[in-house]
Amino acid sequence: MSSHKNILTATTRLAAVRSRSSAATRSAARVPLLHSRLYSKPTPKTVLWQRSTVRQTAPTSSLLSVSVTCRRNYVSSKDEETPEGLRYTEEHEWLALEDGNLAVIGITAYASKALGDVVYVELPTVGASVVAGEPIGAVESVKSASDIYSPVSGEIIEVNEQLDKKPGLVNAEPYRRGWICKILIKDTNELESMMDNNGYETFIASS
Amino acid sequence: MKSLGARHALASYRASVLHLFRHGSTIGTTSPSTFSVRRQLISSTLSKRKKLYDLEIYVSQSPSPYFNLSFEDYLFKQFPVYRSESTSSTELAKKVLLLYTNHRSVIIGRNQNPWRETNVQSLRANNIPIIRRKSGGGTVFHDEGNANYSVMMPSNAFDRDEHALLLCRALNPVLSQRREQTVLSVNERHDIVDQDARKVSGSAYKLQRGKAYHHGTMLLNSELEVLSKLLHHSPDGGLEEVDGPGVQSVRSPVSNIGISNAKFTDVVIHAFEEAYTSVSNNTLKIRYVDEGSITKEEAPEINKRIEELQSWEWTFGSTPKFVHRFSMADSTPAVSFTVEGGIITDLESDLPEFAENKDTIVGIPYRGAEVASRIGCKLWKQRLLRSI
Repeated sequence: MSSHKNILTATTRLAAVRSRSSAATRSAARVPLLHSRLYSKPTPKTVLWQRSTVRQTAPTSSLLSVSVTCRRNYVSSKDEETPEGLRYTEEHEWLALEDGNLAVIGITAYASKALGDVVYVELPTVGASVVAGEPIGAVESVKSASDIYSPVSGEIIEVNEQLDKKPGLVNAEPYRRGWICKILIKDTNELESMMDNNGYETFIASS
Repeated sequence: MKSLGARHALASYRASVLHLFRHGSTIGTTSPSTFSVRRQLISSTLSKRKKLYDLEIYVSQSPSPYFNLSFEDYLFKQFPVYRSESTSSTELAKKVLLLYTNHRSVIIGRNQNPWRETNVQSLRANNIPIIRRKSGGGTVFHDEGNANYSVMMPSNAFDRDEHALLLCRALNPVLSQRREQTVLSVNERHDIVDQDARKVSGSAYKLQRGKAYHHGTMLLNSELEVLSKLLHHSPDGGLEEVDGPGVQSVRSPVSNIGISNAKFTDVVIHAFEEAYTSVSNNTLKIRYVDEGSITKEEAPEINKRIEELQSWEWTFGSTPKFVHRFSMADSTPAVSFTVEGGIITDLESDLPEFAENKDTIVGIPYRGAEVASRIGCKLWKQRLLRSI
């Protein structure tokens, strides 16, 4: 996924440079051809093909705006920085309650940005029992192995196997598809000591 | 979203600008600029601006990679956890520097696949241990011509390039005295490279609650031909494929810097002392350690870690789930093993010698001798013994 992003970024930048430098040489004859390609269904492969052929013909500003929009839709996260309704720890983990005692755990957008592109997530074992504050896994990014700590005590019910093939989900959607594991909480009193979104925002602003 | 390269470049640029700011060009006082410049030229004002630490230096005299990595892990465990509210302005935060040199070994990153990164059998045949470390990153080759450094710091002081830059600044004057004009710098992958962009040092990091470490290699007089042969996994002439998650190494051309181990140790200790301690404090704590000089309290913890590093479960068994595919000479698929936690969980093959022995093979550890002993066909026995 990250290599795909790099291709998108590189070609967008190249298109920007070329459009600036070759603005004078754009010919009207080429424009209708480009438009017909633009209206074809944009699957990722098609989008790349469009952009790679565009490099040989001078790109128009309309194509540039299309390529920027495509990139934004494919890669962007619609997540807020610190969503409401979740609880947070000082180790930059978030917790969401699902069905009573079942909690979903992940790392915050702040942490995933600070870590850089995640290349591997070491997930805990299903069925393992965890204690609050103990490490339950790790995230690797930019040659750094960073431990993840469990905010609560309980048993690991499920882990996000999608992260095996797509560790980049932790960066792209830290609160949605980038969740790490689900824990069955033993003692809900532990949730009291966690911060809410305002508390967490104050914490990261002060550190 | 910037690409990885751009983000690193920006981070290194920021770090170098910050560094210049901290130690050089501007003095952030309200005095007029001419007065500030004069002060800078006259006195060692810089020493008043740098961030001071309670620096502890350890130099290992053991060549055992197991001991050295275990001792490093033990030091990290002992390193205090710094929470943001606990750092008082009067007490200095701690910083630990450990220097060690290992005999010939291959060290893989925490989340790597040894079957993909190295030729496991050829390392075994050459009696070279494979060791999985606790930090991230790629695969490196250690020998007596390679020196390792490890710096431990509070997590709020964590910086990927700070110490690499410090090493470059310390080594460049030493290297410029020689005939070859070797100039070291840090690239966007946080490696130290020479003027021809050849890698002389790789880095890896580990972050925990409140603390972090950065450790790296330094090629002084390493046997580079041996390195390239061992780290080049030539999978049976292209007839083998390892498929699965995990961190893959990025290959780089390498080069030695050609100074002695003793000189390197000297230069690094001096550089750290100058950067992180005040001029007036002459009591620099350097402790020389090896297996014989660790205390009775330290011994059980270190030995526990040595055992873990030597265990098959940690080195091979903790590889992320993968599929190892073997093909025939004409590239048709022959057999593929699915390995999870170092144990074979599935086998797919149309060949009779594998299909009929499937029940005995599934469930055993992924070790060449064990798999080969369950196959009748001699050719396959040899091939598996070479590759697993």
